[in-house]
Amino acid sequence: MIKIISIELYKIFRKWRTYIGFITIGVLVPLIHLSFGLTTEDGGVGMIPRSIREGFVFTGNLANGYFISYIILHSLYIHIPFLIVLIGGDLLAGEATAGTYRMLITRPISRFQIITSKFLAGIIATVLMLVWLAITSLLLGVILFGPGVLIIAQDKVLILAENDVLWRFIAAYGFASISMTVVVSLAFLFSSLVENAIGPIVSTMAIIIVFMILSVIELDIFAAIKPYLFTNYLTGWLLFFDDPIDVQAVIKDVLILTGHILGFYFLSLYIFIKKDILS
Amino acid sequence: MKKIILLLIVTMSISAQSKDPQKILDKVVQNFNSVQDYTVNAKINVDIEFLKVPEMNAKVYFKQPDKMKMDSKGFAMLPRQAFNFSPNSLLEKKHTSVYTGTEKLNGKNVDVIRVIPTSDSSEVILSTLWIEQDKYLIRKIESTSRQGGTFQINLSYDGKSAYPLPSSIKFEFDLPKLNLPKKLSGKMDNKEEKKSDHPGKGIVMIKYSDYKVNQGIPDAVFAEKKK
Amino acid sequence: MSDEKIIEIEALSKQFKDVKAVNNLNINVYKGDVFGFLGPNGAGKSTTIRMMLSLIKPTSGNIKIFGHSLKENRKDILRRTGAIVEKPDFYLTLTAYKNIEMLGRLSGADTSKKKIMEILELVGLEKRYKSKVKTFSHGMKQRLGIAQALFHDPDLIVLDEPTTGLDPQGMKEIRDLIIHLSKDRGKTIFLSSHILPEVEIVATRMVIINKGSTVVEGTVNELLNSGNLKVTVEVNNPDRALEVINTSRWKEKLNNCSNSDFFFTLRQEEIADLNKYLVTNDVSVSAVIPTRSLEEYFLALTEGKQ
Repeated sequence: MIKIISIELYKIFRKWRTYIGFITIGVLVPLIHLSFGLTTEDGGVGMIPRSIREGFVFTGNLANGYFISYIILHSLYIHIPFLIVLIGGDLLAGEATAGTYRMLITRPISRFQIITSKFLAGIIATVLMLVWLAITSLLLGVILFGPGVLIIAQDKVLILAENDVLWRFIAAYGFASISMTVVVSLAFLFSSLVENAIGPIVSTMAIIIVFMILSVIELDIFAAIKPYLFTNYLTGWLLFFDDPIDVQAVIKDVLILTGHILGFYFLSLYIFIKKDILS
Repeated sequence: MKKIILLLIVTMSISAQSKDPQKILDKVVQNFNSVQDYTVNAKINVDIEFLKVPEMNAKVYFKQPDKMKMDSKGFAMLPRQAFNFSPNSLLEKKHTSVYTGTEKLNGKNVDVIRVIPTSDSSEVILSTLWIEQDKYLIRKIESTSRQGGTFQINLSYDGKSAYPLPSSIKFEFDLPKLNLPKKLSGKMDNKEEKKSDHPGKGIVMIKYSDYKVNQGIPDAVFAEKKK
Repeated sequence: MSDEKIIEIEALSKQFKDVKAVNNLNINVYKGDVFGFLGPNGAGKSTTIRMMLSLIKPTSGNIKIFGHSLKENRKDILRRTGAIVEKPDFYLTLTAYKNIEMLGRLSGADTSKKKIMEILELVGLEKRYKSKVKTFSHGMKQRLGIAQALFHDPDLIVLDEPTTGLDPQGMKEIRDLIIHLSKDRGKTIFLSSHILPEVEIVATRMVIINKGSTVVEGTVNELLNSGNLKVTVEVNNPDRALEVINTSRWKEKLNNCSNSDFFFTLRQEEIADLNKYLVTNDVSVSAVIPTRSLEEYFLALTEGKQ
């Protein structure tokens, strides 16, 4: 199986489409660092309500690497799924388009092995993209601007001590890996249904956009379905930037997302095993 | 407004035992002026609803008459009034003082004096000082600002220092009615907010240690660091 | 000829919605056969080959390869099978070398550089091993397709139109390769082709299917020597021969004559009768040559003239 996964990974990284996401992150994130460095950023102090803020004196490296990394993760999080689907949508449909299903399925490997190795390779590529994001935002940010406290505003303004931040980022990226795996799994499922990668890419993007919109609309009918929309749980990484961390909520979100991943995977497996290869 | 307050206080204090409040205040200032400069380590704990801050460590520098500076390896925040606190800053401006009586505060006999700044530009419109008798140490200050909020500073002295420098300060203030920060997150479900033990109030506890008094601090220390 | 069955297809059917592409097909392929699999367009050849290679699931029927059920022994069977299905498609952004290496690894073959270069040399692509497949012509892709089918030294080779896009020299090379693999290496070849003269030259057994079912199955010789034959009779006295023929029942059987050659359409059993009649009527017969082109046979069968 490892042999097949490594072959699939090789195929993924030989496609130019894979590099769109990596290049986008590689260009955008340093640009954000640059603009951060050129502005007089208050490092998040501005999030404290003015009437409180004006009554205090502040000192410390507030406009630091952790702060900008948090901003980057927050801002880009909504866009990363669209870079991920470029990989996921092509995993199976790309073989159909290229006609290489015939070459692949007539090898002495089971369809289960084929689809599972492709699925795992897709997940690995997704995680690598997030690792790249972590390197360009967090590592580069801390090198350029140093570590420090992190001021964030969710339902309250929270100031996290310097030695209390890094592990949260690691946990957040770990959670983000699970979230993005849901996205790639959905694209993978669509990819198993068609013979052209464009369809799964566009469909997955459309579903994410529509679900996100439904989550935001404040109407009772949509409030009823919201808990069933997986997009509702994609931003669970934010839970790691709370104090205390709501561990039950984290576990719940992880289980729901994992359930989606497994559901999409098994559905894809079923479709692929039953499929007649006519291309 | 100020004149009314003044009139009320004067009227109320007619029945009180009379001491010369200004003499007491002068003694307090004189006492404090024995300190030319100091550096001290501060451990700061902030307890404000909707603002969660870890314990902070800072170094505070002071040089007469009014130079103050705070430094920290990490991050620190200190209430402005606590940061800028010295009896001089409170008492050097034109004011009227009224003696209102004696009380027992934390087992100590204290004189209670009301100080009303007479300047129209003063941020504070009324301050009440609890001054320990004989030692002329300020134990407590309660001030009301022009905007209508009040803050209270409780000072403790451990007796280890020969100087009138507190070992800890408890700073309490009213929280204004605020619109809490808008959620930046995409998470739409509203978690239940934890109720504060003291709604409407913010508390900052500062513990001072390792005073180094009158050791000489160059003015350069207080110069603004260029970003 | 061996009697060990390599492929046994029994009552195989495939229904696609409202089209029955394969209908109760029965085929037997023996070890060492070069088995010609023929049929007009839409006969069900491609569907049958895809079912043999587990690309498509049969609606009913059984397929056994190497004596084992395909359904239950798929991996072991495919390990010993190499195939080209329709036009060979590769990973276009990868080189010829890399494609062979990757596919070879999946088949469990020895993917050393030596082995890969050997197979590329066999199909005449050794000079282009570093080139990306997207730069290849159709003929080159066809050669590469044959390379990937043979690379892991399979016992059964399934070739679907293997010479499409090749020049005459290339076609001959593939024909020779097929014969070599069959005769010298004992491989069994399952060959589907529309280039009927090619099948005629290399195939030992064949089946012709039409509308998803077997029309006829047998050795090439058997099939070509049944039914009507084209017979050429060479004579030394053409005038006398013409006179004799025109005054007999053989006139109806005569298609054409040219100099001393007379061209008849006869059944197998009529050849001896004609020869006897001519000889007894003083015609000096120098040669009787029955020929049956596979193409004619195929067209006759599938148009229902046979």
